[in-house]
Amino acid sequence: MSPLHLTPVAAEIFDDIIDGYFPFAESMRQMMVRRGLRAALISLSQAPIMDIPGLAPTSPVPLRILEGTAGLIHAMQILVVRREAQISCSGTGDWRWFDRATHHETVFDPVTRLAEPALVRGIGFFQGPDEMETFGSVQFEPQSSVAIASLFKAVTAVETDLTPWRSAQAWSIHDELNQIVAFTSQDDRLCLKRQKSAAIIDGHFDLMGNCKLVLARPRSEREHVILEYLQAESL
Amino acid sequence: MLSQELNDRITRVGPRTPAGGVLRQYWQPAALVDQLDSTFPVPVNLLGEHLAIIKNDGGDLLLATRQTATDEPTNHHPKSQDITILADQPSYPVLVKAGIVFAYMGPGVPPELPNFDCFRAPDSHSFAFKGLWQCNWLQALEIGIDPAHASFLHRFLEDDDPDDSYGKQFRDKAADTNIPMTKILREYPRPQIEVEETDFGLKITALRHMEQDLTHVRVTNQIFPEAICIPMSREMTITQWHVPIDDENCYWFTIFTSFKNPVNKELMREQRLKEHRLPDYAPLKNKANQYHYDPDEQANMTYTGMGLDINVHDQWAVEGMGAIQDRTQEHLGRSDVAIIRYRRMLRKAMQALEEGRIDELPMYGIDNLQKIIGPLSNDAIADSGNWKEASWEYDMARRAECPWNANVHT
Repeated sequence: MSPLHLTPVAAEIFDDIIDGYFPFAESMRQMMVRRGLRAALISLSQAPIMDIPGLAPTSPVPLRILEGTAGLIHAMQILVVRREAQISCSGTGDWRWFDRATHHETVFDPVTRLAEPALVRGIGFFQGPDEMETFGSVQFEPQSSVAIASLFKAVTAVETDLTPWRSAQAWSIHDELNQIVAFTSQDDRLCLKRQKSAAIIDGHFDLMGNCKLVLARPRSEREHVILEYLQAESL
Repeated sequence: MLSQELNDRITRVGPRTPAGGVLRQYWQPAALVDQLDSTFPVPVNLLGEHLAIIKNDGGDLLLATRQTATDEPTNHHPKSQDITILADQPSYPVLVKAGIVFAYMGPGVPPELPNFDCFRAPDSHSFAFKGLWQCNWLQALEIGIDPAHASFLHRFLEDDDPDDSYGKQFRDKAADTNIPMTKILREYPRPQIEVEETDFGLKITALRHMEQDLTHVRVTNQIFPEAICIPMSREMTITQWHVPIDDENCYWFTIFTSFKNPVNKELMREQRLKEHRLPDYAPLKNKANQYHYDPDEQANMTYTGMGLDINVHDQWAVEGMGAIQDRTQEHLGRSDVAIIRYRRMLRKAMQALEEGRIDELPMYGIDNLQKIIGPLSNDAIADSGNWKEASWEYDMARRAECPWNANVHT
């Protein structure tokens, strides 16, 4: 039996601008609602962030900011899943605060606000009636160029004929943690979850670990460019 | 809104600054050829350094460091006979192209210039000019990559005869119609803005959706690190750099490129010399005289009341932000998408340079910069479902009829 079970789902390969000034998770939620997505693999980089002391997550950002801490997300790759009004963000990031004395966490707080709107690139899964663990309720679509795959065993060697798709790019998704951890984190309890990108070329690929995969094949030059960026920005 | 530290990082350009390091990796306009008469040295103030163009013993031009007093005003233009060259201080190679003297102030071997239209056009179809803006280079660039502001800042309440539009931005007809551009911008003020990364920077497309399922498509470009290429009229484009003198002053350097008739340089120069003084090319309309603001004109003719030259409108807007825009109090919106994308490119470039990954800078890591051509920059009106193809076809048609080789097929 093939260790790989592949399910094409209705999806899009996209880029978008998420609004700044809201809590990070809220900006993501608004984007997901706007695009009709249930889940998305998202990459972003070079995004300024800010922490304003005493500002509740539901409060608007003040017109004039008199104090706070600034920082920058150098890179971040996350799986965002929307369930009703709730958003979970799971993945890995590399960020820094300019005042390290007060801000040096290893887990990114999703109420952190973006200090500017940010470019995001990703693979988004449209909302549908078909429940898939980790991704929520998506839409099976046999002709889709995006698939969710489950890898039932570790594949540490190059194997052939594991998938009818002859070429695709692949990202491994570990269990939804609802946390964004620093990619340098050595916390064993978190079992350091990294999303590793790979590729299927001529039916061959090399991936490690029991995991779910997102596979994507570009159908246009624009999609190809976006997937190249997702690969290049993998942590 | 950015922290002061993040704002300083993207605005300050003196020696050994992150943004200054990125700008120094690229050829920078230093002077107009018009400024090179027979008298050398010619003073140049660039990227926080006080320099002068000299001719070396071999007759080649060079940009050398000149002696300055500590209290020398920012844009001081000493007379040639008062300039002392410091032979033991840095000097930089220059090249002359399209009416501009470019200088390379970075390390190692200078890169080639890309093969943009402004560099390919013959002298007969090219004209260069410059002007002083008393503000930081980045806010000057950012107004050039914001397609939305034109509908307000450059709003004309009446439409002039497009036949009187020579040398003037936004005064021509839109594409192959009889609709003045001023009318398009006024009546469709909420463009949908699409941004794509390219080999040279960004392609920015502003879509103004009109009646009868038509769309006005305006394609402009950001050429990394601090230039833009935008349509001026049906036959001309503008390629414009926003070159730091220091952190609080910059020059715009513009190459006007004609795809049809030879440029009427005398008229273009005359139009612009009416608005600028020499030798420092400072604008005659400025903060000190409120940009010649006229409330009657504002009530009846223009959004700003500051005359018909859109360059003055931009100057007022960017100088009005202060010497260096305080982005700690800034709120960007969705129409700022090109600015957001540009700042991300700049931050990425600064980080790459600091980490020694120079090939990741735009237009680095490419084996042949001559392959970078164009860019497409025009206005078109097309069926809404076909705007991308229409814009491309319009560009190809203009190139096919161009009297010089503007072919972009590889």
